[in-house]
Amino acid sequence: MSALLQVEDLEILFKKKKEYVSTVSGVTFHVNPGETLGIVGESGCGKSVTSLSIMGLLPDNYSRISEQSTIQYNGRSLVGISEREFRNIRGKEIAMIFQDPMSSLNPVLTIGYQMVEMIRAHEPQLSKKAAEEIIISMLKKVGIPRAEKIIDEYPHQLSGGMRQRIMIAMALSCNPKLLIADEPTTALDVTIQAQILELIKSLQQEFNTAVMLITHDLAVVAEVCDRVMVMYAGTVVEEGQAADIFNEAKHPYTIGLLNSIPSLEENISRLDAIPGSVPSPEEFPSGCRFAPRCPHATEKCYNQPPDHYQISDHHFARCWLYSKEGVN
Amino acid sequence: MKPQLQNEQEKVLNPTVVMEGKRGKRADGPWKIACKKIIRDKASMVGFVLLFLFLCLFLLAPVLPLQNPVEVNLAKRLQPIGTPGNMLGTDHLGRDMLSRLIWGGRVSVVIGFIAVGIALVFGTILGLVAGYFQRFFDTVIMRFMDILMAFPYVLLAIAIIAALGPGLLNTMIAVSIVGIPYYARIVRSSTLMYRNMEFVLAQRALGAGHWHIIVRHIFPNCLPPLIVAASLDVGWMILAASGMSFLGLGAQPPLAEWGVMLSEGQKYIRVAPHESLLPGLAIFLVVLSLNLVGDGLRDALDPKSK
Repeated sequence: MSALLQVEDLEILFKKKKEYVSTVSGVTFHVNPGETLGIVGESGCGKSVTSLSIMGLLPDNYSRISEQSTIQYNGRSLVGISEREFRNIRGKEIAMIFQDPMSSLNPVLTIGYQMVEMIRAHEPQLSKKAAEEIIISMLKKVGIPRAEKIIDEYPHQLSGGMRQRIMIAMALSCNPKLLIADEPTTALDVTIQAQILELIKSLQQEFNTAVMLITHDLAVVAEVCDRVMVMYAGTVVEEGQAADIFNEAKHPYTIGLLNSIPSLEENISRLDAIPGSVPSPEEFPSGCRFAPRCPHATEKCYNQPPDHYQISDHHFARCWLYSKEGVN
Repeated sequence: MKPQLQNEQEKVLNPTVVMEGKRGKRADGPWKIACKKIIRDKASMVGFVLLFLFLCLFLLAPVLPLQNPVEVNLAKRLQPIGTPGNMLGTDHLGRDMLSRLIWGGRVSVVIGFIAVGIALVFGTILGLVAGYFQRFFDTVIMRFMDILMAFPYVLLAIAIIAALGPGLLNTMIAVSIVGIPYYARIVRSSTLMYRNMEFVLAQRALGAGHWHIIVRHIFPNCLPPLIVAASLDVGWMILAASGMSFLGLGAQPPLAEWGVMLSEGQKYIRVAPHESLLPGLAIFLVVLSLNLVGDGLRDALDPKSK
């Protein structure tokens, strides 16, 4: 089976004081048709930047993708294609939903107007009436009651959960093959979070859409993802099936993340937090980027960046602990 | 398709779906909501009614039983308000004030609206382009606007009229050019704010192009401050055009125009104050009604106001 999205050796550079600094580097992953890939990591790990680069939405005045990076969607390269070509892919082939549903709808336009306009942008031959029919059925699919009335309402009249449903409806209304969800539930209540995840999951099955779910919430990942990719400081540190990651996490960072989830069963007074915080791109260590915060770090970790080491069939970790030659 | 299953799913996902009836009556459209809000707002209704009356009066000037506004009758000069035959008196050449006010209003109001229209269109386009594309466009456009703003506006307007030649049309062009930076700045600042909002990114992620985003998404968000600015500015433009006429660069006597009337009347302010007070009052009332209308429109067009 060929991958729907194949990203290889992605490097993203940001301009800082007239100089380009590498933030995300060496990121390689793929998304198969119909599957859900979770991308996990702390804030500032490059998760959102990676997804924006796939959409070609990085701010072009101070960021760029390096030459050796390749992003292939359905066998087509997405690096260096024109804005016009990208426009036909965005929304129609790859759609994206964002973290904050409160601000991702235009406050002065009605829901119906925004949705109709979006559909007709991709399918100009549709009449307004036909587009309206589509959005009403789409809104019903995402579980919005009184869809006929909602289309004449403004975003501020709706709750966050409703708006996120609308964003999902909007993103899926042109039948994209890949949906990138950038922390879709972070700004929502826990109960609504569960509903939205449930919704994404059911719609994914119905439309056979692949989903790239970006989150810092491991519980969300456990709930919906087939495969998981853990990112730290712009690199992929571990990748594998969701079960592998949760049951046999290998990379110290993943283990740290898993340990910092409070458990209901064990009554512990202190949570294991990973000490320190993600370094800024200028301060990335020359060796393993996680070394300064790693409990197992040795001399070698500080000096040489580790490669991807295979743990099992689909399970990789970027850590010297799992290399043949070992940490020392 | 599996409609049965889908329906079940909907019920699970959202219990309210179950309670929903058949296709209900559609909610009010945005324009209907705006009209309702204006009707509820007393102050703006006063403005609308006043403006409507003024416009009716100006439009109907040719059919109203008015005296010729330029007919001189030296025997009846400087008659006070309430003189039989001249309800609002006469000016220093014995011309009927009421007739001159109404005919003059036509000229002044048309100048005000068209000048604002020209400034609004160019200023908005420049502001949107500068604010959205930034960098090169922003620098070139906004520095040019700064140059325009650096001149005292009267001086600039006089310079433009000097280049184009005096007259009503050129006055209009001059005051509108002077007004462009005002709109460009307002629109640019709103654009700068909205271009970085998540909905713009979301729209791009859904495949919208730059012009589409500018016209359909950013421009409507810039409207509330623009409407208020424009409604205030119509009054300002009327005053500016009157000022040019006052200086003898705009409307030329004997044509009735409020600025001309003011400037002619000020010489007789001690013996016949009505000759300058009446056009002044007329300008005041038109500007006031426009401001009330502007405030009302801003509130009515803002979907967030209740």
